[in-house]
Amino acid sequence: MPTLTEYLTLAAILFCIGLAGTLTRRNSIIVLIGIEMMLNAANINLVAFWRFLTPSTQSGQIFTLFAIAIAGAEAAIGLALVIAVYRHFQSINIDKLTGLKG
Amino acid sequence: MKFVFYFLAFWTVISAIAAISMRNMMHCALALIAFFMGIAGIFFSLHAEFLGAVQIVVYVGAIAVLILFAIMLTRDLTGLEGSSPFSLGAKWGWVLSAAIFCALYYSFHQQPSLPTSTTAPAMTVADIGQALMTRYAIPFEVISLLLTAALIGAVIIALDEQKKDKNADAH
Repeated sequence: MPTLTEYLTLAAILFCIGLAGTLTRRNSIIVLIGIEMMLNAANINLVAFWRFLTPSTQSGQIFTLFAIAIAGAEAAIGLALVIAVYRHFQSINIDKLTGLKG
Repeated sequence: MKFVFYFLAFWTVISAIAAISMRNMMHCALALIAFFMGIAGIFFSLHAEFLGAVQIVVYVGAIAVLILFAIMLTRDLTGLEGSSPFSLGAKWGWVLSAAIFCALYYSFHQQPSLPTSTTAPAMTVADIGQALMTRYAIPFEVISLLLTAALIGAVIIALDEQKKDKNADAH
């Protein structure tokens, strides 16, 4: 039976991998992939705490359900923005998206 | 039981590393699908079966497909599909994420062991549905408003302005 700490460690590892992907890659879509990874790691935390601390209530699962829904909405908007940016700049390399630079 | 958890953890971590470090964007998206399936497996191992099913349907079925469409619509014409995350300029990203991992690890290894329940939860979909309709009815309605707004907003953001004007001039 894996303990709570093992689930939390796994979530921390996945969060840090997603964070590293968001910070190091130059492609906008991989930045969004890293953000989705971080959201999933947080969801693992939520469900692990639900299962080990309050398995009789539904609030843990409901919270995670809403987190999944919000992540979906944010992914849709983010990718629509990527498409709009690509149409304007013909590139999604974030080093080239410097329109606000003085 | 522990073997299942370690297999799922290994699968998820390997596909996460693959999803952020592959050169080809399509391979990144496919590794992300493997990552989402691993997360769904972890939800199943935590006795959250409904969430595991929702994870597969929403993340693999909708979000990963959306990412694949965006990758196919935004093909990098310069031929350089993003720089490698293992280059020298990217070291600060790894340093920061390692620092945050140390902070997280310290935070949950510091305190005495939390009171854990060993009885497996038997939460059915009926329980979740009942909670959504009674106690969490208002957040349920708000989230549907938010999803409608996101749908309309995404369509408007990605709409092609020039084609719309050309169609309007032709009539």
